[in-house]
Amino acid sequence: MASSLVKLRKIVKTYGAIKVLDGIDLDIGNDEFVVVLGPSGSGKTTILRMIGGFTQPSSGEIEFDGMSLNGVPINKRPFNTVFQDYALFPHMTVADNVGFGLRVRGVASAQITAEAANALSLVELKGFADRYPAQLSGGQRQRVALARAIICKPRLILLDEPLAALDASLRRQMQTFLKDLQREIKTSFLFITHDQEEAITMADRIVIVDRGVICQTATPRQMYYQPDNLLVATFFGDNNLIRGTAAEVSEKWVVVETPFGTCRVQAPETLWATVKDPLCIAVRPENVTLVAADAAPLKGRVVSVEFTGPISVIKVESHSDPAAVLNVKCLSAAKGMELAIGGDVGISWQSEDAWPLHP
Amino acid sequence: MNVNPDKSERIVRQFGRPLFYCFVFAVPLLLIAAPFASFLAISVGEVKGSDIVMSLTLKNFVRIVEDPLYFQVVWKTISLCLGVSIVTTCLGYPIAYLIAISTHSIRYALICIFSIPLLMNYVIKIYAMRSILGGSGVLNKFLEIIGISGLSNLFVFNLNAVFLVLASILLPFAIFPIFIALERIPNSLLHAAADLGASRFFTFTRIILPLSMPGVAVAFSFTFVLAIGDFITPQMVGGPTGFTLGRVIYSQFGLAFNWPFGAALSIVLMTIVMVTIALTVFVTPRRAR
Amino acid sequence: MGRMRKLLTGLAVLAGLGTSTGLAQSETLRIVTWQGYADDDWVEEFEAAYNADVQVTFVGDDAEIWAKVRGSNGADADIITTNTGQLQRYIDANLLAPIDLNMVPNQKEVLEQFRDLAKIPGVMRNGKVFMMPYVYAPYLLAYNPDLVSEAPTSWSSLWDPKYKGKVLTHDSYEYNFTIAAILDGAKDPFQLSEDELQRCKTKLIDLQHQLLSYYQYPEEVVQLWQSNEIAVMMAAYGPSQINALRKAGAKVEAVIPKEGTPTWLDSMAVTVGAKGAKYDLAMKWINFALKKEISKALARRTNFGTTGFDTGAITPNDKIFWVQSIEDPTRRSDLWNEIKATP
Ligand SMILES: Nc1ncnc2c1ncn2[C@@H]1O[C@H](COP(=O)(O)OP(=O)(O)OP(=O)(O)O)[C@@H](O)[C@H]1O
Ligand SMILES: [Mg+2]
Repeated sequence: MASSLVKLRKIVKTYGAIKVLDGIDLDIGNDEFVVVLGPSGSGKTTILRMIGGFTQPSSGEIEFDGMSLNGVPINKRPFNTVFQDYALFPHMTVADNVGFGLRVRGVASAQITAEAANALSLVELKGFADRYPAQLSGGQRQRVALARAIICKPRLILLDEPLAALDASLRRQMQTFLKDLQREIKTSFLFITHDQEEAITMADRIVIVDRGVICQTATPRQMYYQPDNLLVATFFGDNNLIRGTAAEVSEKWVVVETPFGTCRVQAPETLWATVKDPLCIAVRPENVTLVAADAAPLKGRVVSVEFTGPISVIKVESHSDPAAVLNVKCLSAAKGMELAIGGDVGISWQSEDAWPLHP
Repeated sequence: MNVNPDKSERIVRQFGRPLFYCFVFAVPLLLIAAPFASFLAISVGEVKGSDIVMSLTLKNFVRIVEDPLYFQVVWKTISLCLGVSIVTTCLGYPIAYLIAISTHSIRYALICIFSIPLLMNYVIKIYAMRSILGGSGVLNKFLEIIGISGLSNLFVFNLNAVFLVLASILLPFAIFPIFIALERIPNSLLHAAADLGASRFFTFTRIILPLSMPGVAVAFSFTFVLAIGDFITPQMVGGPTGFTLGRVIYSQFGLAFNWPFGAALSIVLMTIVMVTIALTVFVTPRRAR
Repeated sequence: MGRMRKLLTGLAVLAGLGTSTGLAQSETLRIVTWQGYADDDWVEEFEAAYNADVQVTFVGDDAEIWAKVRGSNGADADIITTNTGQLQRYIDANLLAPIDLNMVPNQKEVLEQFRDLAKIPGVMRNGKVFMMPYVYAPYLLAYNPDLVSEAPTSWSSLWDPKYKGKVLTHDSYEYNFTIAAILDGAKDPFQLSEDELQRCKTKLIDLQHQLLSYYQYPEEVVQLWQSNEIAVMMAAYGPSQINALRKAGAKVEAVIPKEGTPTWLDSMAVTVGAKGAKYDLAMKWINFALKKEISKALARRTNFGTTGFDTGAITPNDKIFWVQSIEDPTRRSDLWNEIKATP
C-alpha cells in the first residue's frame, strides 16, 4: 500500500435522520484487490456507490490520485462498475454492450470491434458477440458485464456482489477467474460481498463494515488469526473465545486467568489492559492440542467427541465453570492419548496462536 | 420495474400450453372476433325494404372503392388521424419523460393533472373545448387580438378544430404508455451508461429512446385508433368541413338504416386500424419489445 | 339475413327488459314514449283513477321504438308514440291495432283543426284510425334581431350571403331536403323525384358554404349561440328550442316562413300486442291523455303544441306540411353524405 489510488476520508452519509455511514476512512492501493465485507444493510453498497458517483456523501472527501472527486459526475470518473444485476443493455448485442464505453469515447468502429473481441476473449466469451443478453446464462452475463467494465481500462473496477446470483460451483470458478483476471490486467478491484469465504480467498485486503463503521482493515491472514475485536473474531469460521481477567500486564505479555487455568499470551499494541480487566482469549479450534492432564497448566474435562470424517471435534469443559466450553479440532487419525468422556485432559497451544481481545 | 419473463413461462408450463392458450385466446375471440364476424356477414348483405337480407354481394365494398366520395373521405380521415397520432406522440413523449424523471410528489401531481381529462365525460370535454374554440371563444379572441389577419377563425368549426380537439383529448393516451415504458427501464441501465462515460444526451439517444420505443408504438396506435373511431368530435367542432369516416359510418346506422354499407365501411376502418397496428409493431425494434 | 337482424333486435329488447319489472304482467300497460309525454303525476293520476298499473319507457330515438316493437311483434309495448310519418311503416308491417273512437270521447274536444282525423294525412288507412294526433311542433326559422335588421319571411335567408358563417342548420338528411324542396316549390316535399333531389342537393351544398356548423342536439344550440355570432338558424325542435335559447339569455326570434314549414305530429298508436282488457286500458290512456288539463300541462311544460290546447304556435294563416314518410330514406341519406363530403 505504498501509494494509494483512491482515498476516502471521514465519509458520512445520512438519509434523513438515519446515519448510514459514520466516518469511513479507506485507502485503495494500485493494483490492489480490496474486498468489502459486512452483514446486510451495513453500508457496503453505499460506499461503492459513492466512489462510483451514484450517490453523494453527506460530508467527507473522496480523492483520486490526490484530486478531490466531490462533484465530479459519474461519467467523468475513471472507474467502471459491474452491477449486481449486471445492467446489460437488453437491446444491444454482446459486442455492442462491451463496446459501449469505447463508442462513447468516439473510437472508430473497426477498433471497437477488435477491442470488444479482445475483451470477450479475456472473459472467455469468444463467439458470443452477436447474441443478446437475454440469450445468455447468468455467468455469461456476468462476464459480459465484466468485459464491458474492463474495456475502458479503468483505474478501479467496482463490483457489487457480482457473484451473488451464481450457484456454488460457478461461483468458485468465477472467483478464481476474477482473481486471475485482476492479476492479468493490473487494475484495482473494489469487490463487495457478504460471503466470508469469498472474501478470504480473493482479497489482498479485507475491509469489514458493520453498521456504517469500519471494524477492521487487514489482510485475510491477520483477520483470521489476529482480529481487532470480538465481532471480527467470530466472523470467519469457528473460534474459541475464552473469557478471563488480566492478572499481570507487561508491555509484551499479559497473564490471563481463565476458567481452564492461567496462561500467558502476547499483547498487541492495540491492547490497553490493566490488572483485573476482563479479557478474552481467541484461539482457533484447530490450533488447540490436547495433552495429558498433568503435563499442562490448563486443564478441563472431556464432554463429547464428535467424529466428522478426517477431523474430530472434541468439547472440553472447565472444572470450575461448566458454562465455559472449548472446541478442539484434531485429525481423527492422530495417534496418542485415548480420550474418555468425562476424563480429565490437558490443554495446550503455541503462544502465538492465542490472541487477547477486549470483550 | 422489470417484468420477469420467466413467470408467465412457468404458468404456461404448469397449466399446459393448450389449456393456457385456449383461455388466453377465448376472451378476445369472443369479444372481438364474434362482432367482427357478424359485421362481415352483414357487410355482404343488402337492404330490401325495411329488412336486411342475406346475400353474398360485394357491392358495398365495390361502392367504397369506386365512389370517389368515400375514397376521398377515407384518405382525409387517415391523414387527419395520422397527424393527430404524430402530434400527440411527439408531445406526449417529453411530458412522459418529465413525469418519469420527477421525484415522488411532483410525479403524482403530474400524473393527476394529466389524468383529469380521462376522468371527465367525453361529451363534456368536447363542449368545454367548443366554448374555447367558438367564434367568440377564448382562442379565437386571442387570435384576433394578436391581430395577424388570416389567423382568426383558424380553429372555428373546421378540420383544424377537429385536429386540435382530438390532439388535446387524446394526449393522455399518448403520455401514459410512454411513461410506463420509461418506468420499466431499470435505473441501473442509466447508471451503467453514465458509468461507462456516456453523457445524458448519449444515454437518452442510445438507451432510453430505443428502450421506450414499445411505449411509443402503443401510444401511436392507441391515439390513431381512438382518433379514427371518433365520430363525435368531428360532428361537434368540425363544422361543415369536418366530415370523416366515423361520421359516414354513423350515418349509415340509425334511420338511414343501411347497415350492410355501414358494416362494409366499418370493416374498411377496422382494416386500416389493424394495418396501422401491424405496421407499428413491425417497425418497433424487436429486442426492445 | 333476417335471422341476424332478429338476433340483434332480440338483444336490444333483452337490454330493454332490464328496465321493466320483469316478465309481462297482463295488467300492466306498457307505454313507450318520449320524455315529457308521460310525466309521473299524470301516470299516478291515471293509475289511481283506473286501478291500473302503468309502466313507462322513455326512448332516445325512433330506431329504438322500431326495434322494440318489430322485435317482439308488438308484445313488448302496448302504446307507442312517434310522428305520423314514422308510424306508416308500423301499419305496413301490421304492427298496429286500429283505434276505436267510441272509446275515446275526449277526441271530440280537441282543437278545431285536429277534430276531423280524415283531414290529417297518414292518420287513417282503409277507413280505420291507426293513430291519435297528440303533440306537434313546426320547424322554425330562428334569427337574431341584433344581426338581422328586418324580420325574415323566407327560408331563403338561410342562403343570404350577408349571413355567411353565421348560419346553423340541423344535421338531418330528411328535413334539410324537405325544406329545400319547399323553397324549390315542390308539389310534395316528402315525395321527391330524382330531379328534385338533385336540385335540392345543389341548394344544400350552397347552404353548407353558408354554415358555421351543423347541430344535432337542442342543448348544443344554446352553447353555439353563446360562443358564436349566429344570425339565422333552422330550428328543428321548434318553439321549445327557441324557449330554451331565450332562457339562456340569447336574443332570438322565430317565424314560420311564408313558403310553409314541415311540422311533425307525434301520435299515439296501439300495438297488436294489446288485446282484450289491455286494449281497453290503452284506449282509456289515450282518452286520458287528450283531456284538456293534460294537454295544457304538457304544452306548458314542453313548449310543444298539443292537439287539445291552443298555444298559438301555429295560426290558421300558417302554411303547414304535416310530416310524412319520405320517398327513400337511404337515397336521401346517401345524398346528404355526398353533400357533407363536398369541400
Ligand atoms: N435511498 C436510501 N434511503 C434511505 N436509506 C437507505 C437508502 N439506501 C440505503 N439505505 C440504508 O442504508 C443502509 C445501508 O445500505 P446498503 O445498501 O449500503 O447496505 P449493504 O451493506 O449493501 O447491504 P446488502 O448486503 O443487503 O446489499 C441500509 O440500512 C439501508 O436501509
Ligand atoms: Mg448491497
